[in-house]
Amino acid sequence: MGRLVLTGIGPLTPIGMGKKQFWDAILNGFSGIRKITKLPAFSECYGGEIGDINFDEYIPDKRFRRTADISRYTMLAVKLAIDDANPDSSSLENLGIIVSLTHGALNYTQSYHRLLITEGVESVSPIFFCDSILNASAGNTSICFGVHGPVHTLIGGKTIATKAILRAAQMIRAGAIDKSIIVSADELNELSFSCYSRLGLSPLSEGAGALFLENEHTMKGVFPYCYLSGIASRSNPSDLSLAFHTTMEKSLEMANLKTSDIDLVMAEPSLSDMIGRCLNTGNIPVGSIASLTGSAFSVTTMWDIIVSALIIKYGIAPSSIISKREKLPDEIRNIMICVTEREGVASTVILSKYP
Amino acid sequence: MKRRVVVTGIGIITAHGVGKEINWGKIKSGISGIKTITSFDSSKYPGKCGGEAREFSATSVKNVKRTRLDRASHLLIHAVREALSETENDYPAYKNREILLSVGTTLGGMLSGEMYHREVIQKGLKRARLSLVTDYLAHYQAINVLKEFELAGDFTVFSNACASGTNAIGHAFNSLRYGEYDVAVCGGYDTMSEFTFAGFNSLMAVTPTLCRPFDKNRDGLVLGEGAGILILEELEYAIRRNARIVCEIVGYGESSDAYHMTSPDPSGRHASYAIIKALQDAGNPKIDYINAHGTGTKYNDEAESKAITMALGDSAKEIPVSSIKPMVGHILGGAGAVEAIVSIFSIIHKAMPPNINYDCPDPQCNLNIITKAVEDDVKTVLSNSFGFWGSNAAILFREYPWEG
Repeated sequence: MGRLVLTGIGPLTPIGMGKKQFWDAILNGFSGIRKITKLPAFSECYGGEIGDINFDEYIPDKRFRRTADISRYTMLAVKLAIDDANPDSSSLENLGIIVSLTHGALNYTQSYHRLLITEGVESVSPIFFCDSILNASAGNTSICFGVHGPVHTLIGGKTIATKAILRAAQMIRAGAIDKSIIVSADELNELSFSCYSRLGLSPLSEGAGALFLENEHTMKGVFPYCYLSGIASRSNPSDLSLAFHTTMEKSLEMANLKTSDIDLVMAEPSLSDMIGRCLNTGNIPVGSIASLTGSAFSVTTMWDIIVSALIIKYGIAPSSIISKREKLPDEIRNIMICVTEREGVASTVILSKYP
Repeated sequence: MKRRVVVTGIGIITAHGVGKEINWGKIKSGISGIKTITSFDSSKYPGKCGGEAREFSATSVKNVKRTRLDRASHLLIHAVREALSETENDYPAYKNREILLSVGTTLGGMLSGEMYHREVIQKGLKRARLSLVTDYLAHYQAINVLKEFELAGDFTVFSNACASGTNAIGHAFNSLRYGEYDVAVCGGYDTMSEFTFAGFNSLMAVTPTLCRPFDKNRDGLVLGEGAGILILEELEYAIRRNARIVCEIVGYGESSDAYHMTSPDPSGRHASYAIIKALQDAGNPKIDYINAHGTGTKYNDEAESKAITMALGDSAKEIPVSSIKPMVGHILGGAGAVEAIVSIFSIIHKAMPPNINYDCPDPQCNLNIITKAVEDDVKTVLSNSFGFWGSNAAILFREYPWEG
């Protein structure tokens, strides 16, 4: 059984769509945080929006013209990842899709329910209802790309993107599928914006990120970004630190690495102390895309993973998102992406240089 | 190398009540738990009935310190408690153990979501209660279970529409047999909400009469609520701790139609792949009973019949088939889990439940639909689940010990 490799990425972010725009924006320190235009009730607030995209240009299928933003973002990110990995069509036959979400199509959910409450049963739209079901974006994506393998939607907070990768890796290793697309998406919505603002969480953002994951023995005609060398997820509501430490140990063990082999950690700055304790060093460089993009929950995790893949591939550590750059080695070989949530949920991914 | 995985605990709540005995007793007897809905005004809908779990109001919680919990959390916690309590050692033995929690739901804490949306409309964004929001999120019910039972390990929440519960069990099954965990708590749940009820009515999927799967005059499904939970253990682990083994899981398969958001692929081709994968996974055993997805909609039952026939060939016409949805309703994310439990009951009690309300055979559903409970030496059972957007899953249970 060969190792798993990332062969395609699909970022759809407030700082750019596709790897070139995204990477150039990061290198130039371009921020996607601006005054919100999509939510009239929050027009004085700041956040990261996906700008006007001619969706039909990328997904011309008429069946998806009325789908929710989150479905469109999902499909677009998946298309970018597929185009990037450039698999031959025959190799898509044994493909899986794992979608990770925190909220789903909240704008359609809100519209549907508002109509039900204010105007009655006769007014509700079956389309709004169908797209409100949490696996709508996964289902639309499977239809759009003709994917007949396992198609899953996993629900969770920031760590769910890594759990989705873990699930895909499990299925590839078990031989259930040859390849998998893992995608995370979220859309701005006034209800969630209001809630998280009241909880002090900002700036919020929206978008999607997709990865194309496959076995190095079955990939054809593509040079991967990196290995997926380690991954672990744990929950311990009574002890986040223990859960976090366990994920680090498990992922390092899986990658056959020592803590000193980790060159860069991608994580929220607030995790720096805990990371330092777990890795027995306070000097490791730490980076995060969130300062440029805002927080889109599991999507931000996926963007951090995509950035890490680009850093490893291009050998450049962008100053706009990384602190303590002076501690970086000449060659970045291993990046650890760490995520935690409230309630003791933690996950860790390690990407390593290929070959 | 694949390890063997067994079931050692069961928890179930449906319209029939709380617990194994009452559920199996009523389901085997062909009693319907479908009544006019009382948790909201259903008089304005063409279909007015559902399978509400009226015997269940709330569960006791000790460790979850929240001002309020959604009914979905109550259902799930209660079913998990029943299942853990059954596993010989009482559940405090699992405290801080590395356990996988894998559950499926379609809409999570939607009742809290409904209340929150109403408050936003009535009071405005700034005055709607934030306490309603946490348990609205569909992964918080799982987190509440971890907290209540002080479990460590990991959790996964599947939301693959009506296949969610089966997917959650299948994921747990695979995680145990590939050595990631020794113990898993898995299953599914969903509540009866007007949000969902109105949506299925808007799709004209709810029957205004009776849910009658595979009948020629079937005209729609009936919704239900509840939860189903299984405790899975790796076989050697279960033997070492002298656990009471209920049955074994021997095969799991999944596929996607990639056809339409609500309609299944009418050919049944991709649904049959899920069944074929599950059968192959189990070494193509003889199937004694099929617990069908059987929603009672025109398109599902026809496509499922074709899928079963494609997967099982000539034997498909002989194998007894029934759906329990006319008795407890379609529990959406909980359906696969509750139906898995009924499949296990049929192995334990050597009897197959009836497909009630079935009067007129449909030539397009050319299966051996059983209309009365049948007692027989049931050893191996196939349970199907098919969801919106063509999410297909099939799982196989076998008696333990296996004397085949």
